[in-house]
Amino acid sequence: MTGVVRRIHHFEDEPQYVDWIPTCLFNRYMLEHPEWFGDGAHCERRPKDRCVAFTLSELSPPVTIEYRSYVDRDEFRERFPKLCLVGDILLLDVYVRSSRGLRADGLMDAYEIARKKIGEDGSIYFMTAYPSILSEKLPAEAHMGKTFPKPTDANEIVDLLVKHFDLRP
Amino acid sequence: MSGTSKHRARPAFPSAEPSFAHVLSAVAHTVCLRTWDKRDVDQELQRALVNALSLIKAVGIIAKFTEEHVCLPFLLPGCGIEAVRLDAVIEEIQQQASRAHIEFSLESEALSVAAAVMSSDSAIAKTDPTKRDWCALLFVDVPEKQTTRESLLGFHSRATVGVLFQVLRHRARLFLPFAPAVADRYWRDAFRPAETRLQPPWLATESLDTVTLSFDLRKSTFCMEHAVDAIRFARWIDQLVRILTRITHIHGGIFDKFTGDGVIAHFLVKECDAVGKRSAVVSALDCAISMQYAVMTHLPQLRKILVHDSDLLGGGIGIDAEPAQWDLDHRKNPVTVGRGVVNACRLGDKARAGTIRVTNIAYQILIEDLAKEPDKLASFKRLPFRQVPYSSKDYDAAMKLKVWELVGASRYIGSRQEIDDLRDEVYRTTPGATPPQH
Repeated sequence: MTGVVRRIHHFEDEPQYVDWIPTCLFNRYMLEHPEWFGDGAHCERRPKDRCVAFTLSELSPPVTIEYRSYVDRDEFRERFPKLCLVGDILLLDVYVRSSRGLRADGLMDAYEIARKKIGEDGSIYFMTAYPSILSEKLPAEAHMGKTFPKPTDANEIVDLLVKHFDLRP
Repeated sequence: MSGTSKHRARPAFPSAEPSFAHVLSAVAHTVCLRTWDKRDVDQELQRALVNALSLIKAVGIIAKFTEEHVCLPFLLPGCGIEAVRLDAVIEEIQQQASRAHIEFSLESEALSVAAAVMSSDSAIAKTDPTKRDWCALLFVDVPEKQTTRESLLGFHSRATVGVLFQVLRHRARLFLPFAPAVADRYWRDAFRPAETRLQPPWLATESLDTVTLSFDLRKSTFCMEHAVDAIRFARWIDQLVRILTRITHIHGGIFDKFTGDGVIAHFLVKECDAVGKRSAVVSALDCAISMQYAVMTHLPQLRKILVHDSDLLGGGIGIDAEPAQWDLDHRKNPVTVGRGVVNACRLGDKARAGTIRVTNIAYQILIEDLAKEPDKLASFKRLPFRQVPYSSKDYDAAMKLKVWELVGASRYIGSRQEIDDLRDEVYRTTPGATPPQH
């Protein structure tokens, strides 16, 4: 099926706690726009690629939403630049578990890579249990109004994604 | 029913499982940090439920509010659970809930259920264990390993179910004035296309065709002053309000308010047609007759505590049909503004005990609506309605106004049994009251 691919990228070292994000988005679209889906619509999980995807096959052109997760700095550095498309959205965890405990040292690195690929259009968001670290590491305009403290209000994340993709028939 | 069900031994509390705490905190953030008494509550709440259920990998939730006569089911769209299967699951949970201690889990219709009994300390639940509130989460895809599965269902039945139930309770309470069947339809229609959707009247941008019924307790001040036991008088009034509320709901109406010595109820034309397949003004008249019968059979309890009895005790009812503007007030109670509300109240004020008064326009609509059903029109024509003079503070006797009046309305009730049963249930579930013997 030819169509458009829109991606959610998520740099998160504990992806098992946030794997609800694509499911929530899928179910939101199913609730509000069931007519956008064809028969047998489902979330396809491809663990090897760390990817969850679903297709809104009745939109013209069809739109496939992919949720891609990256569990560490190296994986993000390697895969994100290849996968990132214009109009994508990135969710960044701040602290990453390492052999030396929780470290925020990947944040600036990941943020710079993302900024170059995604641009300054405001589509880089932060999901963290430690929002205060952002003020130390980043200018205010980079994270103000773009931070989702954990535990997360799923409505806020899904509302953000729906607004970002702004899909219409 | 093909499902099996059994009580399970209580698994150890999974305190060492960080994912449980993580998921519960996310559910709490998703549903507990906002108000659920909004005008468009059904859409907002269902969006949040989609997220909450997705967070815990459940496919549905059902909450039963016994006293409110409401069962709120919500399934993830496209989960493939058809209505018949859901009904079977609800029935099985209902049976378990009347026997369970607090939390329980079961397998039914290829679904795993994590459930809990709620409000088991309420007056109604204490008198009848089949009337307990309960809430259940439905899962399709649970771990195969029994201990893991029991741990998951046990956790949700003890924690997540309670959180979601309290949120759904807000919704149930917001719609308390509405007939449960109407409130249920609003819930189910929340995401239907606008042209086929039935939605709460306060979302309407223009006036809605509304039939208003005003019930006024005649000589209520006399009753209060001559009641030898103020507490028993208050209890009698409370029982009356509960009885009249149930009667309003049986007829598809909206119990707007108790005024201290009366009641205002409304019947929305669109809702009565879509849900009850009945004319609103016919529903209002049937409701008024049922109310008169209920008051007549409830009055003997009041007479037991009055110093002086009187033939003038009873209810006077006025009915009018006019468009009304609907809104929600600051306490989230419906507000209805329209000439029909005023007219119904003024008619009710002047109606003698046991009498129903109907404005001319409401009477004409009644005849027009009944003309579509010849049998009903024939039985209606046997009601001895007659035109009587009427005056109000707007129009004095010189205007020679006339309204339609039905005297001794209670004797025209169709089904006494239904009203007798609901009145007896109210008696049985009144805290501190001894049910009267008939």
